[in-house]
Amino acid sequence: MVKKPTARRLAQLYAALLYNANLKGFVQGKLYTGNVKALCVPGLNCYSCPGAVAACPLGALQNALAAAGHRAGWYIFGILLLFGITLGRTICGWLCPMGLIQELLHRIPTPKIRKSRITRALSWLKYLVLAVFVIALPLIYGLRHNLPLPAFCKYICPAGTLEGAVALLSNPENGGMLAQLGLLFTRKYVILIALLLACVFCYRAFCRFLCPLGALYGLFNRFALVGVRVEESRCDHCGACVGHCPMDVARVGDHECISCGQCAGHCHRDAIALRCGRRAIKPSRKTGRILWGALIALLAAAILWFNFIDAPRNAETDSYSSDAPVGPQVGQQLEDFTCALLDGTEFHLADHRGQVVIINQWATYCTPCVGELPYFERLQEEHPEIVVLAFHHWLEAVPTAADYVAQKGWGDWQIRFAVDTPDENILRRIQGDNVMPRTVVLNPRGEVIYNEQRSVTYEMLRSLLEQANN
Amino acid sequence: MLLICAAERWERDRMTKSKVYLWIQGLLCAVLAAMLICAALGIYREGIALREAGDALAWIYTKEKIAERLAPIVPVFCGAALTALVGLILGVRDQRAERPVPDAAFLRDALATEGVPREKSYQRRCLFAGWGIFTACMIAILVYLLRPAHFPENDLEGMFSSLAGWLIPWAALGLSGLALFSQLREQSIKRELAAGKARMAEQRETKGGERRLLIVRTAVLALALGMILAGALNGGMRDVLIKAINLCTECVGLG
Repeated sequence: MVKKPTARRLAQLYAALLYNANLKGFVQGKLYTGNVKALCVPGLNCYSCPGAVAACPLGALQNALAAAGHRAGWYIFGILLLFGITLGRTICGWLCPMGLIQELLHRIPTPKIRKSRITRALSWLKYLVLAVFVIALPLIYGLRHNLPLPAFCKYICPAGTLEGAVALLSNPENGGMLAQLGLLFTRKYVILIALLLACVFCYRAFCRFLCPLGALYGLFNRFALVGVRVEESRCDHCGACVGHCPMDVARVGDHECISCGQCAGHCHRDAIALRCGRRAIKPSRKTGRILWGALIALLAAAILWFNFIDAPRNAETDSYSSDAPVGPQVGQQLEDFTCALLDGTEFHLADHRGQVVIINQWATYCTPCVGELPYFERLQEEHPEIVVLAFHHWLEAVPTAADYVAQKGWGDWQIRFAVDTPDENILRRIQGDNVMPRTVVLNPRGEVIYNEQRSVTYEMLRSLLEQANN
Repeated sequence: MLLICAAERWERDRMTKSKVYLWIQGLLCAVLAAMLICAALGIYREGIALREAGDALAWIYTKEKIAERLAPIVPVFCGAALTALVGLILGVRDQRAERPVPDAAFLRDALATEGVPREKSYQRRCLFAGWGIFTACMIAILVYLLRPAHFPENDLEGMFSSLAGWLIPWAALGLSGLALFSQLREQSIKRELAAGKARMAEQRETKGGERRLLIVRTAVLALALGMILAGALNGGMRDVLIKAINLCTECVGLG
C-alpha cells in the first residue's frame, strides 16, 4: 500500500514549492526578476527555472569563479560556508528539489541496484566533477580568456535542463526558443534522460555520483550544526545503520550521509537521532503542528508576494505593444532610437537608413554572447557598408561593459558598442527581454528581417546579410 | 498440512509474480528512456542534415518534428505510468533491495580484532594500491588541466570533446582501481573478522572533541558572515542578482 508521506518528504515538497514560488512564471514562461533573486537557496534549483525566486548556489559559484579576475566572490563563498557549517548535507536529504525528484523516481517499482564497493568508488566521481567543471574550467576561462564559462551548468546540470530549458520550452510563449536548440541541448537532454533512468534503478544516482553541490556540502558534514548523529554511549556497533543506509556511507554522519534518518528506524538501541548540536530534534506533536502552521503561512505569503505583489522588473517591456507598421516583428519597421556609444559618440538609428543594420544584445557574463561577437566584427570588417551595434543591457553596467571591452582588446573594433538606457530604450523597441543573446537584422528600408533569441554563427550572419540586401 | 502447503505455494507464486512485474516495469522504463533519447537524436540528425545542405538558418527542432516524434512515445509513457501506479498501490517492491548490506570495515573498526597480522598487512597494501591508482589518475587529469593549450578561447566544443576524451578513461581507470582494491580489502577484512577474536572498540568521542567542534563551528560561522558582508559591499551580491534574473540560454543547455 502507498505509505503516508514522512516529515522529510513534506519538507522536500515544501522546499521545492518555496524555491519556485513564482508560479505565474510557469504560465507566462518568464523568469522572476525581483531583487530577492540576489539570495541563494541551499539546494540545487536552477535560477533559470520560470518559478525560481532565488539563485542557485552552484551557478552563482561558477560565475563568481569565472569573474575572479575582476571581483572576489566573497558573497557566494560566504553563503556556501554558512549553508555548509549549519546544515551540511542535511540540505541534500531535506531541502533539495533534485533530491525529491530522484527519490520519487526511485519509488517506481522496478528491480533495484544495491549499494556495493562499485557504487562507493563511483561516489568519489562527484569530487572530480566539482574540481573540473565547477572550479577549474570557470577559473581557467575566466582568468585566461576573460570568458565566463559555467561549465557544469552548460555541459552537465540536469536541474538546468529540466527546470530551466525544458520548463521554458514547454511554454508556448517561448516557441521562438526552439530556434536555438542544437547539439548542446541534445547532449544535455540525453544526459538528463540517462540520469533520470538511472535514478529509477539506483537510489539518488545523480546525488551520489555526480552532484558537486553535495560533494561541497559533504566536506562540512562532520562539523555541521545539524545532522544525524550516533550517541556513542548507547551504540552497540551492530552495523544495522550502515547496512540499511541506501547511501554509500562508511559511518553515520560522514561525507556521504544526507541525514535522511532512515537509520534511526533500524537502530534497536535508539542511539541515532537528527540533532542540532547535542540536542535531538524531536518536536512534540503540538510544537510540530505550530511549526508546520507557521511554515505553511510563510509559503502562502511567499506565493502571494511573488505572484501578485512584487512587480517584475520588465513589466514595461511586457506591456509594450507596437502600432501596425512600426514594431519589432519580422516585416515591421523598427522604431527609431538614439543611444550613447562606449566611445562617447551617439548612435541614431534613423541616420542609417539605406544601410543594413544588425543589432546584437549581449552581456559580459553570457558565454554565447561573448563567443559570437567576433563573428559580428568579422562581418563588419568584410562589409564596411553595414552597421553593427552591440548593446549591453542596463544594470549600472556602463563601467563593467566598458572595462570588459577594454580588457578584451575590443576597443579598436569596428562594430559599435553601446549600453542601453535605464528605461530600456533599445530593448523595448526590439521587444527583447532578459534572454540572451538576441540578434535583430534590418534591411536598408529599416524593416526587420530577423529577430531571434539564439546564438549565431558567421555563416548564419552571411546568409542574413544576403537576405537583407535582397 | 494441506493448508500450509497451499499457503507456501501462494507465497511463492506471489514472489514470482512480483519479480516478473518488477522486471516488466524496469523494461518499460528503459524502453521509454531509449525512445525519448532516440527521438531527440533523430530530430537532431534530420535538422543538422538540413543545415549541412546549405540552409544555415534552418531550425533543428520544430514543433511539428517534436510532435511527430513524441506521438509513438505517448502510449508507452501512459503504459509505464499506469503499471507503476498499479504497482505502487499494490505495494510491490524489490524486497532484496531492502535487505541490509553489511559493511565489514565498519564491523572490524567497531569490534577491534586481535591477531591475523598477515591480513592486516594485505589490507594496508590494498588500501595503498587502490588510492595509489586513483591518485595517479587524478594527477594525469591535473596535468591535462594545467596545459593552457587545451583550453582555446574560440573552440569550446572542441575543448569539451577533448576534455571528455581524456577525463572519462582516466576517471574510469581510477575508480575501477579503487573499487577493485576496496573489494579485495573487504574480503580480507571478512577473513580477519572470521579468524580474529573480536572485542568491543573503545569509544572515540571525548569531551575535548566536542569543545574543538564548537570552536570550529563558531569560527567558520563568523568567517561565513564576514564573507557575506564583504560580498554585499564589494558588489558580489549584485553580480549574483544580475546573473539570476537574466537568462543565458547556453548555460541552461538551450544553445
